[in-house]
Amino acid sequence: MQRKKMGIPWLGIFNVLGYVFLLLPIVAVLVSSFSEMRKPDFPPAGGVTYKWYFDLGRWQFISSFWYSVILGLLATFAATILGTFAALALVRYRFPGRDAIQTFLMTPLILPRILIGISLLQFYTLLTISAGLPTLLAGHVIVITPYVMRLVASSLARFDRNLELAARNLGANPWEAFRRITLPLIMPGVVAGAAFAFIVSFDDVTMTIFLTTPQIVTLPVRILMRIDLGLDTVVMAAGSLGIFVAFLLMVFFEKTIGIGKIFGVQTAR
Amino acid sequence: MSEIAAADRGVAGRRARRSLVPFLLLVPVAVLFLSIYLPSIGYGFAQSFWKFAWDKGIIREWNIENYTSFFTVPRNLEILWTTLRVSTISTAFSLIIGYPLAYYIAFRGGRFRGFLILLTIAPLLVTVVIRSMGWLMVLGPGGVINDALLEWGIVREPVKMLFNETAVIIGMTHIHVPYVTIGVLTSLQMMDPALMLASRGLGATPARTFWRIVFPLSLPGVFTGVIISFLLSMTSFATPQIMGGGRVQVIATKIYQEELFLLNFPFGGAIAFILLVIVATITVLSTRFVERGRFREVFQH
Repeated sequence: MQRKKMGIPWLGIFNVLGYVFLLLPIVAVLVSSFSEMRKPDFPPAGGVTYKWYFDLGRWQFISSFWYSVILGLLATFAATILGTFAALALVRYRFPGRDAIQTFLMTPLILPRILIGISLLQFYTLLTISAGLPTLLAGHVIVITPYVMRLVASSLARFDRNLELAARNLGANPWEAFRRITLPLIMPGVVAGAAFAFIVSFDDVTMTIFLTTPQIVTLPVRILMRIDLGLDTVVMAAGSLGIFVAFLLMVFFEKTIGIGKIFGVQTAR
Repeated sequence: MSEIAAADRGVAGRRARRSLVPFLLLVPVAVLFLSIYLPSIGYGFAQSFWKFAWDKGIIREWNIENYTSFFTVPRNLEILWTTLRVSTISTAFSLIIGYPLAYYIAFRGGRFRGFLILLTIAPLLVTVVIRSMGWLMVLGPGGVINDALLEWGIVREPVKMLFNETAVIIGMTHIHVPYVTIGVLTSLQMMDPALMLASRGLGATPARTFWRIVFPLSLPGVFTGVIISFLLSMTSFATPQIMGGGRVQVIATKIYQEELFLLNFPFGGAIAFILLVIVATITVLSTRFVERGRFREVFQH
């Protein structure tokens, strides 16, 4: 208490520790993936090597990585179209049952992901549909579409209708007015929605784990299954692969819409 | 101007005549949700009222035993209690760590503001599984914390910090801090910094200014962050699975075990619907609280 008066920047120190807390585990995965030992160590006690990265393919991490990327891109593409269409219908038009439809389409955000996962598993089992890319894709699109809807809807709500009406008044047909005026203006919302959707899809384990086969598995599920068998430095290398994707995403968002936008934070005052 | 108004009336008039456009726009999402999503959840719900026998599998006999047994078997109640406890504690820690970060970014960030926001959000882009795995490295026997404790002679043997409730709480806190920080930051950003100056100018101490001015105005953000953090903790699966190492059982890991190892779909489903009721109740109550509760004036800002 006495020292506080001497001007020790407690808030600053606390925040540095806060950021250490936030970043330490991520750094730990990256650093320990270069450990020479088979059993990962942080910080590595022995020498440093990058040999484990060559073992990624043997452990099927590479194929899981591409499976995750392709699944994420396909799901995001579909969800962006579905979500944007739905947001347009729900924000722009008034029709009976609109509120009910909106609530229904947002329910995947409230339902525990694990409930959606097991329900889909049981339903597919009932229909004797075997697990594969289409069944997993359907699950991912269901879960991520509401995120797109929400972000597109909020940018539509902020949009000045008069701009579109002015275009119509100047002779543009509805489609032209939409494509030339509305779409460019809501584009940040669409990109933010798609970004969020991809992150959620790439990250999901809770639903995905019920919809994969032992052969075809996404990267996070593969890592989770490997951790259960015991830690290995190759798993850390696989984790670094995921961190690399996160880094690419970060650069992409920062260059396009500003990373704060995705989470609704202004980066500049 | 009048021409635009006329066009507006024209468009409005046309819309009033029951346009088909909204329905066409909703067709793609409706096909997916009505053919797969709704029947799945419906079937899952129905199945949670069926029976299961080890030798015969699922039996289509309607009963509510799955639900009653969840609340009467002590082991299951213990799991529910663990889930609530872990979620509450990790949410409290998320707030304790996340709030000062938001405060610092909002008022002391200066030209590092954008960078600090980036640092806060970056962890959210890394898969939860990978972040929790990182904690295995940090807290493990060869991890940096044990290395330091051994080096400084505080302990002789590596301390076992993994695969217990504390580890699960640490992992969950780590996942949810950014959500709390973002929530609080959104509130603090809407605050007029002149209020703080006025308070200080009128002779209030920094502490008094914080508790009487800043904190009350940030309550909506605190509330949002806390609710998100708590709901995510209640339903989280990967973090307890990794950090608990099978030794800490929460609702989600219990469902996983019932479904994939014991193949008891009816009971696993019943637990999942109980979890839904808990989560939905919290969501509805918190929305009510925000709308009508004592934070009402604050939320109108």
